[in-house]
Amino acid sequence: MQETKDLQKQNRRLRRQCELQQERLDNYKNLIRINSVINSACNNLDKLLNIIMRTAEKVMHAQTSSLMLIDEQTGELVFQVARGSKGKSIKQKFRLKMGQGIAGWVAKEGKAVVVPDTDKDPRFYSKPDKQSGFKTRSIICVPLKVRNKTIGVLQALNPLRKPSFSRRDLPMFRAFSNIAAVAIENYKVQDYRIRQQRIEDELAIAQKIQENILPQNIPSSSVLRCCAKNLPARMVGGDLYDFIFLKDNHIGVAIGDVSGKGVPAALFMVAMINNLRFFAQTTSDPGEIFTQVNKLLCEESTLGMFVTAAMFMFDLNKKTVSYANAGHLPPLRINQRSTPPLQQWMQGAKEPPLGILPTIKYTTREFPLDEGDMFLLYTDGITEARSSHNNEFGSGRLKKLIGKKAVTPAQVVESIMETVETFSKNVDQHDDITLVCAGYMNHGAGCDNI
Amino acid sequence: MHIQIKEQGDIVIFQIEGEIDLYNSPGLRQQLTSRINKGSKKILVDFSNVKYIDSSGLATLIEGLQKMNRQKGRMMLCCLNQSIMDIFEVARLDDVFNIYNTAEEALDDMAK
Repeated sequence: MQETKDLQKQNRRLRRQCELQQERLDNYKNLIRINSVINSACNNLDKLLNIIMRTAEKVMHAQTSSLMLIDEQTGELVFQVARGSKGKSIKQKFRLKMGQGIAGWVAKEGKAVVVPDTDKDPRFYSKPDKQSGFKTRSIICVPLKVRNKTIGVLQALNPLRKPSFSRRDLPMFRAFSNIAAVAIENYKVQDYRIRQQRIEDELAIAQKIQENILPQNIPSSSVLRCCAKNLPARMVGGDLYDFIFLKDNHIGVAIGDVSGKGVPAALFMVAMINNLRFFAQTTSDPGEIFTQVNKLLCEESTLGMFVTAAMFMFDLNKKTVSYANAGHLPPLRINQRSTPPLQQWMQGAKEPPLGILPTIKYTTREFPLDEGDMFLLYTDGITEARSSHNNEFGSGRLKKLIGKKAVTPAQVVESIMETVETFSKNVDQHDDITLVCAGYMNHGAGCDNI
Repeated sequence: MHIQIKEQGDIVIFQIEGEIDLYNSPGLRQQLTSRINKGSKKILVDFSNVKYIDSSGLATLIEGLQKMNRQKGRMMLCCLNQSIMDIFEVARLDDVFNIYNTAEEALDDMAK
């Protein structure tokens, strides 16, 4: 008799264990299925969060559920999805502070919590219930963690098949929340990638626009030949050059370098080149052009941005050139027809860059042109180019190089670019590079914008 | 870059260490702006331990100078090493700023 009772007892125990194992097996099967469902919704956050919630309710046999993500700026928990008939109003109304309510506690501590009866837990925050009319009896709440960082919390409310949640429900909900957290993180990473791609696409368009703003028409008569090269360090840059054709055989050649790099510098570069073109229509005096441009740039400048610039105005009738410099690196004047060959840094007047002091009057110096005169304008992307040993290219190397190679403006520009490229091999280009060479030839010699 | 801010009477001294470039000049800008907005009328930027400054760093200082000028304050620089001084001279900014060889000279002048 006793034996039969023992056997019956053992039988019941085995059946319970069997049921438990079956439940576990079902849960794991569920998790595998959930994983693929959740990951299929990775490109739409609302859809993803909705699927997570719907599945959470199903898995936990809960009346409803909610998901909160941490707002990194305020540190508050923001309801993303609160399902069920009362959910919509909750989503729009509530934010929880770190530590506030059950969810706030879970977010702050990074630990899961089971509340069998909310009436008996002092942490329970009842305001959302009061305002929505929903009655929360029991809660199971787990942190959403990615690489040990809590990004939000997930909670299931009111079990449907039993009076309250218990610690036995935790392993499943934890496993589920891990899948959900990874899916949310995957969405964020993908979303970030898409945004980055959009920015890059826009930058590619900006790059085209900037290339088109630089002059398309390059002086190439038998008298004055020019050559220019512009190589931004990023997609867009703050370096500029311009050729301006005026009446009475006046041709302006300008170079500029906006402080900083990238998009801010590129925007200011456009303001600079437009002002330059506008004022060059009113006077051919480079100092006066700079004086006017400077006044406007001082109004347009933000964050202390400025432009160093130098400009030559060739008067091919009078065979003179006038020159102004606003804090730019000294141009190099070269003439290989003189003996010994002339190579001279043009120091010019002591005037600051454009966009800083509105009342500056920039001076112009004028001198006669000699046949064979070449003028080289460059930005510090050339002289400050770095080698892999962290040496600077420097102005000395520039001068030496031209001493050997100066023949035509095109050859000058080409040989400098080649040498700098070799010098900075295997080093990322650190700054925008611009080179402009103008040659008063008075005889035929090849030149193009290389 | 590391910034240490000291106060000597009504003069705020920015002691900067390292390089002032595109990446860290926003930090300098924030601290300068905060002091200027608090109404500081005298700011001295000490370059003793500054190894390099690029055009973004120069722009940050220019912005500070322009703001100080607007509120009738004074911003001065001191202790620029030769390579930094070259950068200021090439860009013709040595006349835009009041530059002193030593902190004492700058402080004496500011006290006047």
